Amino acid sequence: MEKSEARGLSAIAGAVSEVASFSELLRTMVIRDLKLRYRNSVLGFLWSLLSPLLMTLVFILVFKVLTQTDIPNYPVFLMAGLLPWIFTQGSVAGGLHSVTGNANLINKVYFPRELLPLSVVLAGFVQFVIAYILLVAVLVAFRIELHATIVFLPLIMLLNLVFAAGLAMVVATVNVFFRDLQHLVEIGLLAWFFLTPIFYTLAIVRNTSFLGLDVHRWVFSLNPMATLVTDYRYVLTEGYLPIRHTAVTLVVALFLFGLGWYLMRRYSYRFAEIV
Amino acid sequence: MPAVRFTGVSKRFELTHSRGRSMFSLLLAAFGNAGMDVEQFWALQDVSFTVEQGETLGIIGRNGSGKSTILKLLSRTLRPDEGRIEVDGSVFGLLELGAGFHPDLTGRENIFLNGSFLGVGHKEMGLLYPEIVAFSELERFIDTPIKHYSSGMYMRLGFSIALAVKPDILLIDEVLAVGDAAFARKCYDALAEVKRAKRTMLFVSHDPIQVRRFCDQVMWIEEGRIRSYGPARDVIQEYLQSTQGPMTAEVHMAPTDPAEEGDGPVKIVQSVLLDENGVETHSALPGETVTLRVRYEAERYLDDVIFGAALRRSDGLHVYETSTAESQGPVSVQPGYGTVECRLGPLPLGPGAYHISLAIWREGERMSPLHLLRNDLALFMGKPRGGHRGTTVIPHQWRVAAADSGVLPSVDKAVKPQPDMTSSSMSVPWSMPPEGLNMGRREEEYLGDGWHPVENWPPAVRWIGREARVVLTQDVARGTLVISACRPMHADRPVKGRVTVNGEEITTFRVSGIDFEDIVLPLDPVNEPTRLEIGLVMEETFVPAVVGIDPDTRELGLAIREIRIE
Repeated sequence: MEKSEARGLSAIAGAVSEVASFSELLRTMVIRDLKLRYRNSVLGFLWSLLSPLLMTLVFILVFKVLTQTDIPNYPVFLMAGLLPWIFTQGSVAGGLHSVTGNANLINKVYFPRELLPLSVVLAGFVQFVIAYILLVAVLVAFRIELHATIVFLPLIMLLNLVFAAGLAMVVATVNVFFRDLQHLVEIGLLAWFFLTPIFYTLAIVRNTSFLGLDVHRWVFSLNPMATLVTDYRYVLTEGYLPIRHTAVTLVVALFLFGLGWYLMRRYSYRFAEIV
Repeated sequence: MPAVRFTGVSKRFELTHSRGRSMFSLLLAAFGNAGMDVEQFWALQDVSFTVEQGETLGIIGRNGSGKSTILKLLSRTLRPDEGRIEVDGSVFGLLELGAGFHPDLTGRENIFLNGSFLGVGHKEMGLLYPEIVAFSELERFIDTPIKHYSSGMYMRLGFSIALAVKPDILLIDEVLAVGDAAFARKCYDALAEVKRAKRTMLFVSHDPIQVRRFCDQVMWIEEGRIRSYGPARDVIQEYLQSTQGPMTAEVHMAPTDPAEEGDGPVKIVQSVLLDENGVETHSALPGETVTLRVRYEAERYLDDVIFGAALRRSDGLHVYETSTAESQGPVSVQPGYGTVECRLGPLPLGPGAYHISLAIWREGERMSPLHLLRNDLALFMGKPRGGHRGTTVIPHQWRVAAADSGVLPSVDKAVKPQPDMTSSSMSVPWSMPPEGLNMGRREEEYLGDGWHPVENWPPAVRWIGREARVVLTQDVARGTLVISACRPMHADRPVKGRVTVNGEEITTFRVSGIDFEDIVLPLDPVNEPTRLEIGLVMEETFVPAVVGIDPDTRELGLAIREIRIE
């Protein structure tokens, strides 16, 4: 028992050191991904800022104008949650095709396959961080009150990164063997978006029950994204970090990352046969 | 430790027939329905071999025999189901086209991306970058996304990277079949260099000629198992014998596998092809000249020996055959070693692989040679950039007439056929005066050799030597020397030279037109019929080719219709 545990640990150490030895490749792949994202568009990298802005505009139109929502600072509220959502959703969607869409690489060169979903996630993360820094800068420019808890922001981003990377590795591996996943993921992401308090506050579902279930509890507690989105808002504008929920999300994120890593390690040798 | 060691390696693939991997089949499986239509296919079964450091192993076999699976296992894109693979050193595989390239990235970006796949850092790759670009000859396109590249350009980029990063073990999978042959030739030379540098190579091909050229050891794979393993010559012979069975016998006019016959007192001990600089070569471009050098060993004195060489295309077509009997007749050999050389060319051969067979026989005993090496040497004819399709090279010249009246010129006038041959070796020199050529009264045979018939033209000959001499008789009543000549059509400049009479220069001439013109020279009057030795000395006999097919210089020559005294 002890022996196999030791072997397991050394295997993990070996896997980590292998990926570390390919860090140069990971860097190149991230840059490649960033370059390719907007290669043939006129505005290029600007789109990573422009598209959340335009989406925010749509939400403002729909909710502020049509439904007269009373959330204060609605654009800030939206942006704070929308940016992490776009990052996470992009990671899942990108990760999903990261292996199946790179048959050319899988079949011809060896490298740790984890790098494929990881590079997609990291490229998205780079865009996300830049957009968020700009958002904070805009908040400062418009003299919107910020709180000291903003120092936790990098930690939450890191947590978000681990969560997204884990999820991307899981879907990347599973999609190789079961292509049905891509259709499920499409629907799943749509549902997930609505079940995450991005354009609404949790207050509107408080004490709402559906089929006898406490909606607030289900949506909020079982959805790591809900925690993350509200965490971003809390540290930014409320000066508060819900430790307990965040800790749960951390456990979920680490578990997903471990699972994704394990699946990749365990099954990646068969990718070239199937892809 | 050997560079590569396979021990009992097996690889299995699952062939799912058309249903694919879907939720439906998963559900079927979950409900215990075995109808998933999975067929197991052993791509490799119990394969064991070792490749020593610095060795070149060729792997041959039909498509689907498992050759490429071996390379994929080596490059770690596949993992064996059974057995062990040990590899000592870094491996880089040129597996198919554009391994690891991204079509949307530029050539430059792909070089660095490819480098990092090989574990070569950005900085290090930066040092190799100029070398890679120079070898690939893609300077102009290096900042173009490679999706706009041709397959040949892909190959060039991939190959250049592989050469530059110098992996310990280089895997090559049929890639050289792609792209223009001029580059393929460069690759062959580069690979020969890699081989000389004693780096380990694994070379996969279904073309035994390629394998034979590079590999010390050859492994023949059939249906996932090693059918034969050993020295290149033996295994390839075995392979060809099996593949050129009854089915292909009609296509192959003659065997192209190497074979040896004869055990006479004169033996070929070494044979080599040299390029124009005297460097060993396996390849040439159309129009180039190669020299075949054969070193022989004779046991005793013989005075009736004939050396011959025959050229065959890779499909067995007998292309050309020549021997010393044509020019020298039988030659004598002394006990010990000797060398025979044959200059072949300019080669009018189309792109492709050719073999040269060598033979030594005694006069009249051609059918039972002293020594015969069938298909001993391989010659790879390249394709110059931008030209040449087909099996042979026909000297030609395009002329396009400018349209002047809006009326299309007739085809005849638009494209003039080439009236004479570009090269001396394509027609047999005449030792006797050409028939139909009016040289006036003559008493002596022409001196020297090098006259060539000019086809499809008024009776004329072409002189390609530096100096032509002809002996004519001047009568008392005659006092004018007339030389009717023109420059050959392929020459792009006037032909200049001197005319001598009995060794004394009497004038210079310059022929610039492609229509015959008379050079008229007064002679000193004579009192009795006198023999005069008329000489034509060319100022230059070669011109650099400006247009046309031959990459090197061509013989200039002079077309002469008539030399007479009147």
